[in-house]
Amino acid sequence: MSFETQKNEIIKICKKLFKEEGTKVIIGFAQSEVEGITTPLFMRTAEDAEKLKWDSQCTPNLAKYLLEKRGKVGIVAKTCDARAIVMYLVEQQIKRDELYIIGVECPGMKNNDATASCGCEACKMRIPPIYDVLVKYNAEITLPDSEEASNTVAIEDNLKKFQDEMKKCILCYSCRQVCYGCYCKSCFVDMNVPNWLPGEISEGAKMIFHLGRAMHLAGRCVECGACERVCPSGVNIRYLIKEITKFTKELYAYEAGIDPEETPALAVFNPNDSEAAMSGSEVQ
Amino acid sequence: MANQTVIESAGKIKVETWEPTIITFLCNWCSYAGADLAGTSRLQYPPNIRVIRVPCSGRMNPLYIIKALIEGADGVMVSGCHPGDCHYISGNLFARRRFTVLKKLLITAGIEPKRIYFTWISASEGQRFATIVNEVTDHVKKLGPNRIIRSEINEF
Repeated sequence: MSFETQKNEIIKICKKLFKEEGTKVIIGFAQSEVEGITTPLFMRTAEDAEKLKWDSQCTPNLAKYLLEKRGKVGIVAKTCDARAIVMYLVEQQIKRDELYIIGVECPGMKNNDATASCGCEACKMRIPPIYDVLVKYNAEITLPDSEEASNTVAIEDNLKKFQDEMKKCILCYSCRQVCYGCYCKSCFVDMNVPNWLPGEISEGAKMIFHLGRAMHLAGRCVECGACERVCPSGVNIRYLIKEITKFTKELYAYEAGIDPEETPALAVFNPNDSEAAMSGSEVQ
Repeated sequence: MANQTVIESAGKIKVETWEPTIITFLCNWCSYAGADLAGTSRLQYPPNIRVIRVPCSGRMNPLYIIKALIEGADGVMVSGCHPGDCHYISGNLFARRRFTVLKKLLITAGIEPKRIYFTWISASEGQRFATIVNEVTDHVKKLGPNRIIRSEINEF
């Protein structure tokens, strides 16, 4: 099994890091008490490294834990974790020299029923965009043929689809908590002044939350699928964010989490940018 | 106020008596002065707009627009200085990208593109301001009341 060889190699690297580099903590994956669920693992000694798990169920995005760690930190990063790390570097949330990234070639994660995990179904990136050491998979990986049908639907259907999704939402904010990109110290939904969300759980409140969050993630989403995976009511909110991610990629040729030197699409401008949104015209 | 009636009893109100409410964000340096000029030149434009002055179109938080639409505004219009004329050098150029993405997002969420207007009006374009307000009001009137808030009220 290639997962097994990869795992052994990661453990070897972790032990070496503790011994030689003086790394304080390495973030990895561990088996939860519940079967089929992976939890994060914070390794502090070489013995802890034995608890590491690496198989097709290591879905969590570990990057967010980096924000609360200080000092020399190691992290086991598959592609989407690494892309989130790149975004943190771009947004100057973490320092590269305090970070040791064990990049792991990711063959795509699976659900318990062996279907592709949320976020992996169309992902074609196998090698992390940033790493200090790369652990190869050493076996044939089948890439998904991600020719998703372009959904050109009428506006009425768009609204209906959106409202149907919103009906399921219970405003628990799990998607915000788990999202790598939602690290604001005070989120707009928690504010009282100005009070963005009405006091009660209404469809309007859900819409402001989801549209506002989608707008904050415009051009920043790394498509790890964590938001949808943690949702207790199965709200498919990723379709909104996916759509604008695709849009920023087409229009501004920017893809989040690839190049640590590049500025995000909405933080720069080009004097010759498209005027497509101006004067009530439709965005193509 | 007309818009209060629409919001509070949107399910019941007759469409013939309905007048759209268009929340208009104008940048302090060009478009607000442009609106002023339209007023001092005695140009006629519909009274459906509610003007909010912002320092720059780059100051526009996308949440303002989303919140306005969800609270029951029938249309939102944002206007700033022409590209290259921004008082803060490049505020409107950043805003342009943001607006483009926001508009795409709102269309994906089912809001008609004609409800959201982004435009450039300079301080000397009083006539253009009146024309655009006319145009926006026409479009929004044709679309009818904002369905987001209406469909929510109708459900209960």
